[in-house]
Amino acid sequence: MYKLRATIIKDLQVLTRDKIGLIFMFVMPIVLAIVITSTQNSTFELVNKNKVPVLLCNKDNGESSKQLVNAIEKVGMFEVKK
Amino acid sequence: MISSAVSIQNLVFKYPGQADACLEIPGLEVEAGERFGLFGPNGAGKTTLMNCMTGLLNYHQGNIKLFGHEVKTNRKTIKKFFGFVPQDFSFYGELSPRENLAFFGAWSGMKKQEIKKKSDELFEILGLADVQNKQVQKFSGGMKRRVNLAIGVIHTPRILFLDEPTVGVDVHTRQAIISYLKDLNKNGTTLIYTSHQLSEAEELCDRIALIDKGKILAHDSLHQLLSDHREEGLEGLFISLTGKTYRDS
Repeated sequence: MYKLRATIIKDLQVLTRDKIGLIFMFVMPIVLAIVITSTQNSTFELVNKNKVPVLLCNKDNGESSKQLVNAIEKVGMFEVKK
Repeated sequence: MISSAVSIQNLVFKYPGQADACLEIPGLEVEAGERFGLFGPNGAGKTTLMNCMTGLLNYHQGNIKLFGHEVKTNRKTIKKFFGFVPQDFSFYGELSPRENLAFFGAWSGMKKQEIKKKSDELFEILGLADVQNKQVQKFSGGMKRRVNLAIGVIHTPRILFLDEPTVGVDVHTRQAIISYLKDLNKNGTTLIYTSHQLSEAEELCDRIALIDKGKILAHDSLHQLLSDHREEGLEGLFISLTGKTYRDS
């Protein structure tokens, strides 16, 4: 227990005096999280704003075809033109 | 009553992947309380032998005993009574000498009060009292060597291994280290010492061993070796036994 305590104290002392190490340990992950989330956010926006135009011709008036058309519209990626 | 501090018999050591043994020592005894020097060219095997004696390297054949305890099988026991001052600095540069000694003292099983008392004593003897709370990484080479030595002796070992403790230091620091080692020895600590400074053999060692290519070429008192080989100085003896070619090329 005494050795463990001495090791913890030593590591904390070493860590608090290593300014560059501290920056890498705490600031870098925050910067990385901000950069990654903003990059991912702009990718989502790009996908959501630009929809793929799809010309849909439905000659079947059955229940199944209506369900298929609804499903395609619900995806959100397609701009369905009938 | 065990009078041998170190006893080596039929020692063979080879590094992984090497066909030939890099250390072969049929027998070597160092008496308790002795100042024993290991001298040899670069790459001769001095550090390897020291690492085997301290249990840092596992030898393949033979045995090494420290005060009757086999090194290979009694690591925990031998840790308590030997100290090691390695060639490379073994402290934490971000910490002060006091903090370094507190950490290494704790790992040697010493109590807080004991560490404080011994640290104060060592700082006074080794001239580190004024800088005891400053970061070691800002110290000069000589001061770093003294911190390295203080760490090796914090737990008052019965046997102290020193791997070139005076390399790269000025005359004052060298004298301070040598003088402290002599005092330690007077108080009963056995010293096993390696160095390139041949003058230190005369100054410090009761007996020396000349080692080259992993083998001990000769071991005895310096006076006896010079007389046996009809040489006037250790440098002449060293060259006559080891030759003039580079060993570590």
